[in-house]
Amino acid sequence: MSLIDIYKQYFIDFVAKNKEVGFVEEINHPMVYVKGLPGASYSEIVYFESGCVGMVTGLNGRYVEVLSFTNEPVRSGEKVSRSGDSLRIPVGEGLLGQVITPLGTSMYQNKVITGIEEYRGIESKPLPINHRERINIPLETGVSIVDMLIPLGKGQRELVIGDGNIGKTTFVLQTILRQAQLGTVCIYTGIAKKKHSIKKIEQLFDRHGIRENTIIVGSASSDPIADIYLTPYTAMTIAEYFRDKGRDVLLILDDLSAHAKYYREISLISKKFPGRDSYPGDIFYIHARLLERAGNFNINGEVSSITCLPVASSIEGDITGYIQTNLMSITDGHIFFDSADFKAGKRPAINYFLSVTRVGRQTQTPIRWGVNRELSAFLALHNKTERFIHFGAEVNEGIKSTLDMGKKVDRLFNQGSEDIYCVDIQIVLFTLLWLGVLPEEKIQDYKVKMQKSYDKDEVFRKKVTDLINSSSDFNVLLGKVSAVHRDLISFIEGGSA
Amino acid sequence: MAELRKTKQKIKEDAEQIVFNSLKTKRNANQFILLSGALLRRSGEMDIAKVLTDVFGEIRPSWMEDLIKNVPGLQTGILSDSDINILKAIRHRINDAIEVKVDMSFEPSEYFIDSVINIMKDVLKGANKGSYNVDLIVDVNVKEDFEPGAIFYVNGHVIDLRVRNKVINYLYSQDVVNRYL
Repeated sequence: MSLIDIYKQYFIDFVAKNKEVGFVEEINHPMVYVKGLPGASYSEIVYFESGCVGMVTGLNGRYVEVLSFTNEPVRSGEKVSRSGDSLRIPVGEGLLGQVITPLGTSMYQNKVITGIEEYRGIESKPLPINHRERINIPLETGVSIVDMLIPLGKGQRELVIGDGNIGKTTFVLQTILRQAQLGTVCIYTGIAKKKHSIKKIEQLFDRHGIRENTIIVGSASSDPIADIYLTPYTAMTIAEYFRDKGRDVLLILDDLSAHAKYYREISLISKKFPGRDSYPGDIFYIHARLLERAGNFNINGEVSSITCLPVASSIEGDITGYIQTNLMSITDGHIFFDSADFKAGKRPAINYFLSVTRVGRQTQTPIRWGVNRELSAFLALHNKTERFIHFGAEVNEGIKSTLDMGKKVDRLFNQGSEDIYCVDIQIVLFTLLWLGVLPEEKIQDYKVKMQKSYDKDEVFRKKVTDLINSSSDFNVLLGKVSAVHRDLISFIEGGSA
Repeated sequence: MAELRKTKQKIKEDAEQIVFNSLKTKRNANQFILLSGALLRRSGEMDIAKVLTDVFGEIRPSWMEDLIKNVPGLQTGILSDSDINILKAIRHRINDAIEVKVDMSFEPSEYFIDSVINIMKDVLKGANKGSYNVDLIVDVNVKEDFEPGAIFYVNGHVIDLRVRNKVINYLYSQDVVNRYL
């Protein structure tokens, strides 16, 4: 039985149940205006006689305004029945490892998802304040510049913003790779993406063996606009399910500026009054109510979080756009990807000076605080020095060493699109760099080798963690690493401790 | 003077009511809108017979008789302001009328349609405590494979009067299985 046949049957059943029928009067695809249905309520699901399905998005004296979820044409005069229920999607452990549509079905035709435990409405209310917890656990992204300089916490909402094709998606995927390794449920939401992009992400997860901890919720740009609009809400509903099960969730929304554009399209078609940049008046609200559902929560005495990384595209580095500033004010900070840095060869092209983390620093250990403090101070000095030498000033030894160290730090932060480094390795590497014992040309090589050893060699891992755990702050760590740096370097180079 | 104005108004309302009552079905209402549109687009003296032929062809609908009787301009070929007002008022009433949709298997008789309108008017007046005058238009949807009986749709509500359902409901309500079988 096809989905259309199922919906046709639903239409008949709901007519018999509710004894109400509406008739399609006007169609402005995807908006359909229906006369009748006196009992219809906002966000209620309706079924068309032809097997199409829609959602009530507005009610006025004469018509019920319905957003159609299908690309199939709705006919004028067609009968419509109401379900008496809002849109629900299936959730359960069975979703792990799946690629699903915004309506909760598999993106692969004829594939049935098993392991569904319940159906949840996609428009749930955010948990009240008594269920909220302070954000106090760090979230590792595996990306050195972020973990060291713009740290994130579990439950934080951090906007990832920047021009197109300069590494925003790569960064969020690296974060997923790291978090999935640590056992977090990771949900990647592709809003109006190309189908092959979604497939590539699926293949990336397969390649890294993290499929069992990830879910992809995707809508292609050829999908009905209503599906695209619902995509982030579906993903958030799934995230809430796993949060309620006591698991930490990382939710990527890629990207909300595209979502805003599609919502603008729906609003203009449904004749809502356009405001700034033709966006409707409730554009802030639709994103705020979505992102407010993320956070750090206490569910029946157990703390679990939904960390949300919404992505927003900017044009020519302009972060003062309407949607971008809206999202900045909703989230707890932003990571800015700079096209100038990208052109200069920095990977990831994150501009530290224009990035903000409002709650991430409170989750840091004293050592990470120390690393952050030293690096921030150094980068400020380095930036000032670089600007200074632009004027052709004489380069003395102090300036030269600052510039040299700047190059080394850049090398440390540079990493490939699928490389991820755990925080312990990042700290030890930075300490070695700070001690001046790490040659610039070998930084990349050392990073890779250290991470490999850390993953595979129990002894090395213990050595590194002991070194860090036994130090009360960064200065103590500097002293300890200074004492054993030869051992560490010879191990990295030779492969034995 | 005031008396004369009142009388004119009464005549206009009566004419409106008679023509509207003669329409009854959605098909007729659509035909009326087509015709009135063609008439209102023209100005000055016109050949009514030609307009009617343009719109309907050779076969004229039955409600035309009432329209011609009550809109004097259609007899003379020159539409007065009062005639135009009548046509516009009827169009307005059609737009505001409550549609009663009926699904059934055969083309109903005039008597059936009149009965539907009268019963529905009483029901709706009762539901609204008789506080307003309801205009009804019946839209009959004939489906040859439809079961015996009919389904009515009024104001979004469904009234299922198919014979099969009536029989089943009767059997259930009388507990036939337990009492007789």
